[in-house]
Amino acid sequence: MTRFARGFVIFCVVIALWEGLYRLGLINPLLIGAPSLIASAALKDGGTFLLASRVTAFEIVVATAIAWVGGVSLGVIVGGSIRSTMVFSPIFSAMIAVPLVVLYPVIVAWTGIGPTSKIVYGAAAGFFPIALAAASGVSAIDRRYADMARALGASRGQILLQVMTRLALPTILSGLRVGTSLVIISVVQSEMLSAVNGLGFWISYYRSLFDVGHVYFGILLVLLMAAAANAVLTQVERRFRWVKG
Amino acid sequence: MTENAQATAEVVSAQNISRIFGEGTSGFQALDNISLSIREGQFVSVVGPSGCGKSTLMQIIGGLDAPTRGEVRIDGEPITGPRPDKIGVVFQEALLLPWKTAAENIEFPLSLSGVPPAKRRARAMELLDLVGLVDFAGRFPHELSGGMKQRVAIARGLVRNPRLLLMDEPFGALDEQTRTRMWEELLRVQERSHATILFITHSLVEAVYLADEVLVMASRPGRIVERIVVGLPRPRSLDMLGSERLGKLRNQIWHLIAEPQETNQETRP
Amino acid sequence: MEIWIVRAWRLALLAALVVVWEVASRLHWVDPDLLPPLSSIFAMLGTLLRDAAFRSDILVTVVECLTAFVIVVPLGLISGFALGESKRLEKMFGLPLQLLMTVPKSIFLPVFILAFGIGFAEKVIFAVVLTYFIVVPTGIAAVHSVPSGLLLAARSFGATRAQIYARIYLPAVAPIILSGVRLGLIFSVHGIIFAEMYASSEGIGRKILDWGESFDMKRLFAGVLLILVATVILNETMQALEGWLRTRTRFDSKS
Repeated sequence: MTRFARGFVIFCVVIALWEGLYRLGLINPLLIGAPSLIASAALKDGGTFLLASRVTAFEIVVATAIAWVGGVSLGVIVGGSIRSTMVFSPIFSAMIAVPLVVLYPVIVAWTGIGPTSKIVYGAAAGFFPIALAAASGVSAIDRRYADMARALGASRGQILLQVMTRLALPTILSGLRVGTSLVIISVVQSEMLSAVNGLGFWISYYRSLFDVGHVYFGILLVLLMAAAANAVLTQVERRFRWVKG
Repeated sequence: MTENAQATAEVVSAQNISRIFGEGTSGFQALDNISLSIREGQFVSVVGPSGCGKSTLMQIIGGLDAPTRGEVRIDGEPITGPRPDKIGVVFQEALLLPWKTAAENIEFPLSLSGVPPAKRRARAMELLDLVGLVDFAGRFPHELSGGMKQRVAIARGLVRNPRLLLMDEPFGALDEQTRTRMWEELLRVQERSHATILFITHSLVEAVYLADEVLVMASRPGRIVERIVVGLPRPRSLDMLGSERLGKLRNQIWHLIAEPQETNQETRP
Repeated sequence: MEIWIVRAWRLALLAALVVVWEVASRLHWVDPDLLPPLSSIFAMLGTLLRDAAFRSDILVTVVECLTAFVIVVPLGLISGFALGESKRLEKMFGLPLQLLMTVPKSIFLPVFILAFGIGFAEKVIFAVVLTYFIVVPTGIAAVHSVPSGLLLAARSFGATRAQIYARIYLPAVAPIILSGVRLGLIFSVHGIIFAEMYASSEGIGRKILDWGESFDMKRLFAGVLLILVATVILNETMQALEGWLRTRTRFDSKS
């Protein structure tokens, strides 16, 4: 509790200092905003931003689900054999190095300017790091575990799902963490580029009006979303963490 | 049991099995013309230097690898793949699944074949009792010592009541003291369960002390050079480790493995 | 031998992709307006590359990327070295740095525009900030990868400071530094392209967005393919260089 109280005090001091510097004209509000500007933006257009958050959150959740399921399944299948790992892993890592954002105009041309294009782009951005982590995680597991399971009666599917994938879970989870944060960034990025709603759209909209309070309020909401996703993932990771046996 | 071993049924038989890796002249002959027979209740150990093909032999009997020539049978049926219903396997590493408790690890082979949970748990508890780990049923592998882990692995190997327990250097990764205690443990388990065991090791003392019969292997190509009947009385006790009989057998095997490899090859027909 | 099989597989996959793309479009399995035949895209790319205006767009992008790259790599690596070497600096900046690394930087692009206006400086500064936090960890890793056992042995054999740097530090850290350089280059490109697409009057990123909005699919695909192929080649070349350095120096970093 005292720790929480101390954190709260530090938080208040930082906010006060920030606001004070702004009032004294010592900082450029265009660069780092100001608490009062953000607060007034929140009071004035909180409702719009809340609705936009729902749109963005929906896109993120769907894109994340696709990237998780697709990335883990393909990664596990690829990781199941050494040869397919050697063929596909470099392709996955090359796709991570590529600026996928150039595909976004293509996706918009194909699926329109609505939420679908954000979901497709977000899922694609998250897919490759997840698939890479799953493939390298599974392929790095000691093959003797597979031998053990086979000798004790496991089928190919059981070996892959009940043994290798579970053993690779720590690596897979760290892939999910990277992938999920990429999905979040990419969805917001794509909203910023072209959209009709969503946090990214409103950030860009108020940027064109030079309204720094609204811009920062939107950024703050995105950061909160990223932090929430991070907290969820930390919980998941904690649940599946075990000491190597 | 040793005395009337000849009277009991044959569990495993291998007829002239050879295993060649690769093809043509670059092929490597890991096993050459191996034949063996294990009868019910027998404890047979296979001993040989590293690289003599012991592990290949164990992979073939376990159904994880197929011989290039020849055939292995269990209860008269040819082995063409893993036979978890008839053969339990224990590896050098315990290879326990780290997210499962000791009991759940023992249940693992049963869960694969769809045995209902209550039945699985009851069987796991029986086996935990057999290996003396009842109090550790709910512990995870990282909470167990190396010896305990290997005992869980032995219990897992026995859980489907196999006709043969195949053990591939199961104590190779343990320290000397733990290893000695595991000998006692294994002998006790065998006495109570009457399991038929094929035990692969590179330790001469271990091979002799535990087994009724020792198959001595030499390398290049891997082959059985001698079959030795141990003839030590059962139950075994640790003071037999210093016995004259054991020392003599140990020396005999040592000479078979160590020096005559070249001469042996030349004198082979 | 194994490596040839793997390469053959990859080549086969690429060939299959090319064939399926071309055939699917030609036979109208997909709408050729949405996915033009690959051959027509290459033809368009040839036309574009002969066009001086497009070449100047490429030049703008390349100059922006290189400027960001030349600034951020030394900056990031030196920060990383300092943090890796000094416990005190680590204590002071370790935590805030880690926090900043996890913050998504792209969403701050509008703030860069508010602060610096739309232009060369805004894009380069944005790309530098974005990339900085990716290069710093490789600098830290490089310091930590120096084999301390080897260092001790060299000292006890009486190696001079210069010798230690030339013979031990440099070969040990070279592959990791190179991977920092690679990440610096790749993410500079990411940052610049995104910044161009978001708000710009020139550059290939701007062109791609325009072509997308005007449904000029052939030009769009030509531009997209150009960027994708160029970055893949860049990345693979640097990675091959990294691998070559690693096998040459034979220091396995223990991280």
